[in-house]
Amino acid sequence: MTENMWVLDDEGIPALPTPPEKIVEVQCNLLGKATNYEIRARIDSYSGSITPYEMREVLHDFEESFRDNRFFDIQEDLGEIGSSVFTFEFYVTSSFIPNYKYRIMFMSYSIGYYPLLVVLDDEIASEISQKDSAGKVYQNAQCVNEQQFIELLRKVIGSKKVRKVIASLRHMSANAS
Amino acid sequence: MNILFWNTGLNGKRVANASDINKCLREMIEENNIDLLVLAEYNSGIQSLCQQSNAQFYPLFNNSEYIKAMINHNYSIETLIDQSRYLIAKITTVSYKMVIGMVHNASKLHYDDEDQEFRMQTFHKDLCQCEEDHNCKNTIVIGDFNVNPFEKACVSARNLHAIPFREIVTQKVRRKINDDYCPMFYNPTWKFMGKKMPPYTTYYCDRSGKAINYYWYAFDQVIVRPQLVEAFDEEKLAIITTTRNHMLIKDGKPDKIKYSDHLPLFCVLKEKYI
Repeated sequence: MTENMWVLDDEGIPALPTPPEKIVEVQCNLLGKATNYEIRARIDSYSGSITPYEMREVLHDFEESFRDNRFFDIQEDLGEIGSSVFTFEFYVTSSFIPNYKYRIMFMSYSIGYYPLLVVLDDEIASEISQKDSAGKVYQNAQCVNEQQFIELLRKVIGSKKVRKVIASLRHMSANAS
Repeated sequence: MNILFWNTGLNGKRVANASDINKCLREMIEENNIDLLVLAEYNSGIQSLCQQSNAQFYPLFNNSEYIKAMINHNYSIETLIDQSRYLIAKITTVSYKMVIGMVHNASKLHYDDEDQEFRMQTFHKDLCQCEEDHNCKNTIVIGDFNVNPFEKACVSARNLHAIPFREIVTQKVRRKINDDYCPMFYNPTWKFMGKKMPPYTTYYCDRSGKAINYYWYAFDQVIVRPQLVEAFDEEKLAIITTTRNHMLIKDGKPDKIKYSDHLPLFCVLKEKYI
């Protein structure tokens, strides 16, 4: 039986959303252009855990088969979101101090891109996220579609914290010139 | 190199204390010949403190609201990682380079143990990356860890892996856990746990009514990589309680009304051994 049963054309298949890292990449390029490439934003792959609930310890006897399985739930009321496959960090640096890094957020997704987990830096989260009655700031945000992510990204990039970081880097760069 | 860390508690709610704390800081800097000052919850203006100190200091470039630092102009310091809850910098002199991590971890008031452990894990990953990028294992970490030295965030090989035994740390250097090599730190802060007289550690909290109440918490800690153990002067590790004109304790506990609920932590690195 050698019949090829695979149907590889896209007809009838809903269009996939833009990969979240591509959305961020556009903003990275725009920042570079707007600051004459003095301030750079980058999005890179990240290999570490980005939430406290990601389990990495495995039973020694099943180590090989479970090595790449990572399971975590973000918050109890959101439940499981399955295995995370792609994780990125979005950060700002400067051509003037190339070793400097301010990480704005992590983001992580599985097949299909959404739901997308975003983990914000503390001060950004404090500014744009909700706090509970005890004052705890929630760093994690879940975006269920591209539109939600774009809205969140707009808030994050426009936050006072990010603006402050960029302003201080520009100030330093200007003083050095 | 003389290093001082203090969580001053000037977090916007206690601005009235700023004057006393700043005067106290200037005396501490002078009396202890401080080269590097790291402050948590200090919003009184680090630039101003630099200018008012007798020695020549300049502030570390960073944007964190939780951590500030300033260093003697004899040293060159470069910010590598600038996050809200931690900073990682590289100090360079003519004879050595050193990586320093400065931490103000999330508090137990608002976050659970897992949150705290995870934050230290993220910090440690960044620290290890900096060590690799700059080929430097002369690493010291200081700050308000907001956990005790015996908690998982400190001792777990997945987190800081900070062990209280010099010989084990300098001989083993790292351990292999599930195919991951986990580098160690030496944690001398444990020594405070066996003190005979108060202040026993830098932070006091009477959790009256709770089943577990330590009263004194060694939240403010300093840890060093094996490569810096010889340079770390254990005899000089100290909790500062007084300066010429300021008494930071009252009834044997931190005077949190006039100063801070934390006491300053002082340590020394003998540079000839770096």
